Formats: sequence, C-alpha cells, structure tokens
Amino acid sequence: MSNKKEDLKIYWNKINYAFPILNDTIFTDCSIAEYEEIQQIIVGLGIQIKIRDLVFVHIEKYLRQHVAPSFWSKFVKTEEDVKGFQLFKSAVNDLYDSVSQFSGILERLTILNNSCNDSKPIYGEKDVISGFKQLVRATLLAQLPLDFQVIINNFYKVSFNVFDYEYENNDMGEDVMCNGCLNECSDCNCMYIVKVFHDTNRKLMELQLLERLTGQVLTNFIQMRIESHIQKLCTGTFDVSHIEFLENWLNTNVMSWLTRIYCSGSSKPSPDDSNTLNAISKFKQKLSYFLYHSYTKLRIDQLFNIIIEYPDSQPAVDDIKICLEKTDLRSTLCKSLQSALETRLLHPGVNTPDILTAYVTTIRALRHLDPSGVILETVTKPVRNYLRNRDDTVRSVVSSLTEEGAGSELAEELVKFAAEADGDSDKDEAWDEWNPDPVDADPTVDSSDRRANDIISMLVNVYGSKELFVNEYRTLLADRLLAQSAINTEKEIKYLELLKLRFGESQLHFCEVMLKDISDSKRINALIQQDKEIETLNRKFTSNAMILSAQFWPPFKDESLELPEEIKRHLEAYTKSFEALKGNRTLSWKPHLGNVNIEIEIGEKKLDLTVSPFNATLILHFQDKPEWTLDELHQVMKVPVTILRRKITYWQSMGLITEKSTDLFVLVDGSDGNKANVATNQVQEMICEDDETESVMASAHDQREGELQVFWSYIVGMLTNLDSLPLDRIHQMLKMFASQAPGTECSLQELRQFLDTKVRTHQLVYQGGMYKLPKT
Amino acid sequence: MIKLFSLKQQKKDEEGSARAGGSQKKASAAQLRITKDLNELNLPKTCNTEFPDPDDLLNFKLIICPDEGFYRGGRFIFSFKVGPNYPHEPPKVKCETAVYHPNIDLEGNVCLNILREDWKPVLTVNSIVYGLQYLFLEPNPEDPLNKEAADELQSNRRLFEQHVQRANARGYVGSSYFERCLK
Amino acid sequence: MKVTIKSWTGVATWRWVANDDNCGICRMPFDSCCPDCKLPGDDCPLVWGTCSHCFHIHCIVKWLHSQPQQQCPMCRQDWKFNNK
Repeated sequence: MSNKKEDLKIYWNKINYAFPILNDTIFTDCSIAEYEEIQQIIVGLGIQIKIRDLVFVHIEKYLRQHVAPSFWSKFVKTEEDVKGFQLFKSAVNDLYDSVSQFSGILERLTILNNSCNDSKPIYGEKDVISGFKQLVRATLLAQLPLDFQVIINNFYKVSFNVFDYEYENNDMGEDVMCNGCLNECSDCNCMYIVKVFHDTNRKLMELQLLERLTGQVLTNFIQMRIESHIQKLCTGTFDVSHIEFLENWLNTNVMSWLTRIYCSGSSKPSPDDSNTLNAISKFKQKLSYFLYHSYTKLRIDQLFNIIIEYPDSQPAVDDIKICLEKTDLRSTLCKSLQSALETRLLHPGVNTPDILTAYVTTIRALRHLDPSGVILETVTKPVRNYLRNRDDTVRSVVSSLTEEGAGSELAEELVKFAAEADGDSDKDEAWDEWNPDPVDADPTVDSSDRRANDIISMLVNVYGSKELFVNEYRTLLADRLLAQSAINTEKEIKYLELLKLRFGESQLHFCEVMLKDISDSKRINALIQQDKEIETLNRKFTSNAMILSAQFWPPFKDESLELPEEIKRHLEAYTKSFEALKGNRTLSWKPHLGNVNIEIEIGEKKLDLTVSPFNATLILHFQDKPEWTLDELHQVMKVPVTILRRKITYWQSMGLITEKSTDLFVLVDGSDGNKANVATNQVQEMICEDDETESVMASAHDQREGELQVFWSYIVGMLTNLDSLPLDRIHQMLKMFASQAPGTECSLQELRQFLDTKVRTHQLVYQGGMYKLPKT
Repeated sequence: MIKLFSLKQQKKDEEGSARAGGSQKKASAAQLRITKDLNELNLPKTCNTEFPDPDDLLNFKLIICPDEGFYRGGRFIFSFKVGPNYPHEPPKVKCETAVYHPNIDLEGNVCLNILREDWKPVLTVNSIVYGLQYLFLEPNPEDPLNKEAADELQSNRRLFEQHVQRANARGYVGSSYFERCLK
Repeated sequence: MKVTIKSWTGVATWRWVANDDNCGICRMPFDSCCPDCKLPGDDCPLVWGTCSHCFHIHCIVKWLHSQPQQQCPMCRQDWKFNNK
C-alpha cells in the first residue's frame, strides 16, 4: 500500500509537471514525449476525466484571478485619446500573450481529453481549444468594468482619424501638423497607428473578442462620426444635394475602415469568408439606414429655413424627398415643421405679408416634396387657422395679388394662372404617373382636390369663400379709385381681367362697373365743364366729380360733413348740369369724399396741398375766423367732436393750428407763422399728400355684420313658424334664400358664431342642440 | 418686425402649380328674380314651402292646409316649375293631390286667372300663393275645370260639401277615386 | 392766412328719379341694371309709360314683345311710352 502511496505521489508530481496550472503557474518544460508517458499513467490510473476537469477548474481560477484583472486594469478613464489608444493596445497585447502561454497546456489537455471518451462538451464547445476561448471570453466579460468603452473609443477614434484623412485629402501640403495623428509631420505616427490598429484587431479577432468587446463601441462611434460628419457637411447650405456625397463617404471612408477591422488589415475580405462578408454587409445596412436617418433628422430640423429659401433650397428638398422614402420620418417631419411654423411664424411679431410669403413658399416647397399634398394639408392647417384670425389677411393677399414688380409672388402666380388657362393641356396624359395616396392621407378628401389646389386657391381657402375675397378686393379697389385723382385705369382693368379668369366673371362684375364709373366720370366732367353756369363758377375754381353707381360700390362709411356755402353752390350747380345732361337722373353727394387742391398763403410762404374735403372745410373756416372752439366747429361742420379732435391734428402737425387751451383752437398766422413749423421749412412750396390713409369703405367685418343682420330677420321668421331648429337646418334654409349677390354666403361656422352672439344677447335661446326664440 | 425674407427679396421662382378655381356660373335672370320672390315670400299660416333640392330654387312645392271653408283639414300639394322666361311667363303650377274642386281637374291642372291670361311680370310667387289659397276658400264655379263639381256647387252646396269631405277622406265621387288627403 | 381753392373733386352717386326703387318686372333696383345687362345707367336706362309707371327699358320691351296687347304690367292700362 505504502509503495502504492509513494507511486501515487510520483504520479501526482508528474501530472503537476505536465499541468503546472494545478499549482497556479503556467510554465513547464514538459515535452510531448514526456507527456506521452504521463498520459499513460493517467490513463493507467483511469483518472483522465478527473484530471481534465481539475485542470479546467484551475485554468478557470487562474484566468479569473490573474488574466482578467490584469486585462481590465488597463481600462481606466483617460482624457487623452492617444493614451487610451496605447492602453487598449497593451491590454490586448498582454491578453493575447497570456492566452498564448496556455498553448502548451491546451495541447496536452487536448490529448488528455481525447482519451476521456466521454464526449462531454467543454464550456459548451466541442473541443478543448474552443472551450478555452469560450472560457476566456466568459471570464473577461464577467468582470466587465462599467466604463470599459472609454479607451476602446479612444483607440478607434485615433485610428479612424488616420484613415479618414488618408481618404479625404492625400496631399497634406505644407501643414505642419499631420491631420491623421495630430502630431507634427516630421514626427508622424500614422504608420505606427495603422500597424498597431491592424495588429490589435487581428488579435481580438483571433480571440473572438472583436464583436463582443468593440461591437457596441464601434457602432456608437461610427454613428457619432456619421452624425458629426453630416453636421459638418450640411449646416446652413441648402442649395447642394448631399446624399451622393454621404453615400460615397460611407462606402469609402467608413466601410473600408470597417472592412480592415474585420479582415485584419486587408482592404477586401476574402470571398470565401462568408461570415465576415455577412457581418460587414449587415453592418453596412445598419449604417446606411443610420446615415439616412441622421441626415433626414438634420434636414427636418432645418426644414423651416429650407422652406424660407425655397426654391434656392430645392436640392435640400429633393434630398428630403429621397430620404423620406428610405426612413420612417414622415410624421416626425409633419410634427416638427408644424411646431417650427408655430414658433417662428404664427405670433404677433411677424407681420401678415411675411406670414403669407412664408405660407406661399411652404406650399411650393411641400408640393414639391410631397405631390400628393397630404403633408402640406396637415402642416399648414395651423397657418390657415391663424391667418383666419388676422384682420388684415384678406387685405394683404389682395394687395399682394395686385402688387407689381419684384417680391410679389402672388401677382406672378395670377399671371401664370392666366397663361396656363390659355394653353389648357390634357391632364389625362399623366395616368402612368399615378400614385396612390400616402397612408396618412385623410380618406374623406378627394385626392385630386388636394393635388390640384394651387397657391391662390389655398390662400383664398383660408377664408373658405372667394366671395369674401372678391369683396375685399372690391373695397381695396374702391379706396384706390377714390384716393387717387389720376388713377391708371388701364392697369386696373388689366388686373381685373386676370382676376376674372381666376374668380369668374360674375364675381367681379361689380368692379368692372366701378372702373367704368371712373372713366365715365371723366367724360361727364368734360361735358359739364362746358355748361355756361359752371364755366362762370369755375372761374374761381374748378369743380369736378367722381360719379359712382352706388349699387356696385361697396357701402361707404357713413360720415357727415357740412361743406362751406360756396362749395355747396358749386355742387348744386354741378348737380343741375348733370340732371340736364342725363334726363331723369340726379346726384347724391358724399361730402366727406373726394380731394381738394388748395393753396395756402401764410406770411411769405405758399403751400400747395391736396387734402380731404374735411381738412379743406376746416381750414376755410379758420380763414373766416381765427379762433374756434371744438363745439363751434361741431356746429358748423356737423362732424362729431371726437372725429374733429382726431382730424384736426393734420393742421396741428402742419403748424397752422394750435390748441390754445382745452378745446379752443387758433390759427397760427402772420408774424406768428415764422415760429411755426411751416416757416422753418426751407421749401417755399411744398406738396403734401393728405396723410389720411384709412379706408373710406366700411370694413369687410362691418359689411359682414350687416349682411348677417339681413339673415336675422329670416331666422326670426323661421323660428316663429317652426318653434325650434338645429343649426344645420337653419343654415340649409338660409342657403335656400341667400341671394346671389356677392358676400351673402354664410358658412356653418360663421352662422354658429352669429347665432351664439344672439344667444349671448338673449335674443335667442339654445337648448338641447336647438335654437329657439325666447318666450316673451 | 422679423424680416424673414430680407435675403430673398429679389428672387423669383418658376415653380408650376395646378389650376383651379374658375368661374362660377352667373345666375340666370329667372333665378335672380325667383330668389327675390322667395326672399320676400310672406306665407299665410296655412301654407308652407318645400325644396326637394335646396340648390334648385326653380322647382319647389307649396303645401296648403286650409283651416276654413269646404276644404279645411285637407292637405294639398302644388308643384311650382319656374321657367327660364320668368317673370315674363308665369310659373307652371300643378296640383299633385287629387282633389274634388271646380277649378282643379283630376290631372292636377289649376284654373287660376293669374296663372294664365292675367299673369303679369309684376306678380310674384306670393301673389300665386294667395290666389291658390283663395281657390280653397272660395271655389269659383264660373270658370270650371271640373264641370261636375262646379255644377254641384251651384245646384247643391250641401251635397258638394259632402262630396268634398268624402274625397278628402278617401273614396269615390261619381266614378273618380280620391286618395285620403286629410292631415 | 389766405386759402385759395384751386380745384374741388367731389364724390357723388347718381340715381334715377323714379317713384319706386325697384323695377317691378325684374325686381332689381332701378339704379342697378336688368338681369340681361352688365352696366347700369346709360346702358340700361329706365322708361316711363303714360301711366307713370317705369321699368328698365329691356324689361318692359321684352314684356311688350311677348304680349298681344300692349299693357302696363302694373296697372293694365294701355302702354304708351312717355317721352317727356
């Protein structure tokens, strides 16, 4: 027995000699020949399985206690990329070396394992070597420190820089610094970095740790690079398409670098290595998607600016168009643009013409981006709602429609429409370009409507009715015609013709009559001037008239003004002459309208002014009597005191009248005049336009109120007869009776508002969805 | 004010756009006139209008429910067709309810002077409504379309009244059948 | 101070001097035009009958053309143009 014990001791020592790991060391001189003998012994004792498992337990322990900690000990946070680069390199090298030291043991272990014949998997793998590698990976990853990615990131960053610049610009010229390694050129480290880089990657690949250790870092890193590359490339420039550039950059710089990582330095994977090929192509797909995604996101963030610069920014819009097909960012785009519009456009700090211009470019750009019109419809809804609530929207649209010269895109649009209407080409020809509506389209809207809506219609649709629009145009035209004594009727007629093409003949019929009134007035004036009595009167001053067809002009603001007797005599004579000229017709004067050319002599100075009848009357009164109280003026002019006070400021600003004490106005005359503004004015004769620019027409809003008031009598009638009615029924019945004159159409929404004001003033009762009259 | 467009004031653009809009058809003279008529329509309590197509003011119905006279309790529907020559020609008015009436025949033709020889363009739909209403209050045997009814009205007012009531309640008067037309 | 008026341009609206506002035939205002016209005034004048009723000339002429007897559509008196 003791003999045996002794033998066993020898055997154990021999086994320890072959597998020094059992004593926690690796080094041994045991040769293959020596091991053959030991193997015999183990097999002889029948303990091969036990020994094998024991060895593995010790390898595991060794890896856990020595290899892994020393590997991870290098993974410390560092600020310097180069330091991190070195740390990672030495960590991988050390790991590679210490793992290599196991080769002897593993070789023997393989022989031992083969003799076990139990075909038991080793750490899940078939053979010792793979099992060992698995063990190494498992042990390492089990001790993964939290911020292990820092130096890996450093490592790849340094190496990518070298590659990136190698591709970007080969001629480093006279730069003192090497753009690759950021060292001085004389001391360029690039070659070294490239060598280390490939070496490290190869080792990691061999250890099968490349993906595990660096995959996430690599992905993050490349994505970061992609993002920063896009940022660098695409900020502030919208007039170049970047997609091709970016694709190229991804394929050359990024992908070849990646390929080198995977293929240990060679620029092409060997065609047999399907695993690597697969991995690379998957990586590429991911990156390509990421590239588009990042680019699209950037462009979406810039979309508002892109739109403002459209059509110069068309390449950028084209890019987005391509990107939207490859990414899933449609709804992001809508949301982001909508909020951009809201924060940058739809607030009181932006004036209406600018909002309109932005709206127009938005329509143009989005129409190009998405011909189906769905995005446009969604995105611009808040713009339309906002514009609807601005008082001057219609006015701005109408004035920009008729504006001439640069900057008026709408006027061009109108002319273009006319040109297109002439050459009406077959629309059916485009059948093969048909596309279904996108999924986010509103199915209740006819897609052809959405597609066909042009810019002017979209603007007109802000209000939902072109009647209101035409009405506003009429009011503007009326103001212009009355304000200018010498209006260019030809130009106005030209625009009217354009508008007629767009809005239809009947809608603009009124304006035609208005223009004709003006030209007729000239003729009538000429005829009346030949009248004997008028001729006599005219010796003092000429009286002219604009004779209007009241039925066709927008309603005038009701303003009273008592003219001086002399003027009244003139106008009466004019009326008589008109009556004689046109049998059975007479004139009703609007005393407050028109314009007066007067000359004021004050001291040495002469002023030549064109003013309103009000201002002329006022100054004439001051000629007769230099001091007037507000109340006295009210008595002679029949103008409300508040209006008098407001309007007298014109003469105050001219320095001719001052308010001596409250409500007492005096003429600044004679020698006093030298102190007045007029005297200091160097110009002897100044021609001054009356600064009153406010409209003489009742505003669209006032008119509308009036029109709705017309409905009121019908509504009362209806409710008297039928007791109570829901909103839509009232609307329907009104529609039936609404006359064909412009402006009398009333939208459901408008009617609701109108009825609600009636409810508030207790003229109506709203109960259970029905309107009725309050019981009296 | 924020100057969004200061950079691009001079820039023009050439993008195309679809056309839309166009002209709204001008209302015809008849339409204009009938609109005014209907606006001024002042219906008696016994009458009501119905528009099968609210966009078509030229074709509508008038419903008369007399509350006195021979025909009280009945409900009579007239169709109005306003031609393009209105108001130079009167509207074509037909009674769609079968009625036993001296001035309305069984085809629905109505004998009312202002719908024929006495029409003049200053008359309105309102005039016709009152004319029709009057026909139910005072049937006129002088100028009959339904001779049998006219004769009976002249010879035996009581029998006439009975017949009217029978016709309204559904039944035969002579050989003619009348659908019920009571409210 | 001396103010001299050099010219005075007033604004007036014209209207027909008639005993009613609207044409009895087309119901349009006299100061507007008949439904077949586009321009009021000279292009669509009023005419008076000896019965003192007046209409848009186009309206009354159209009516008279369609009638065997020339009667005023208002009062049924014989229609004669009053060329006052």
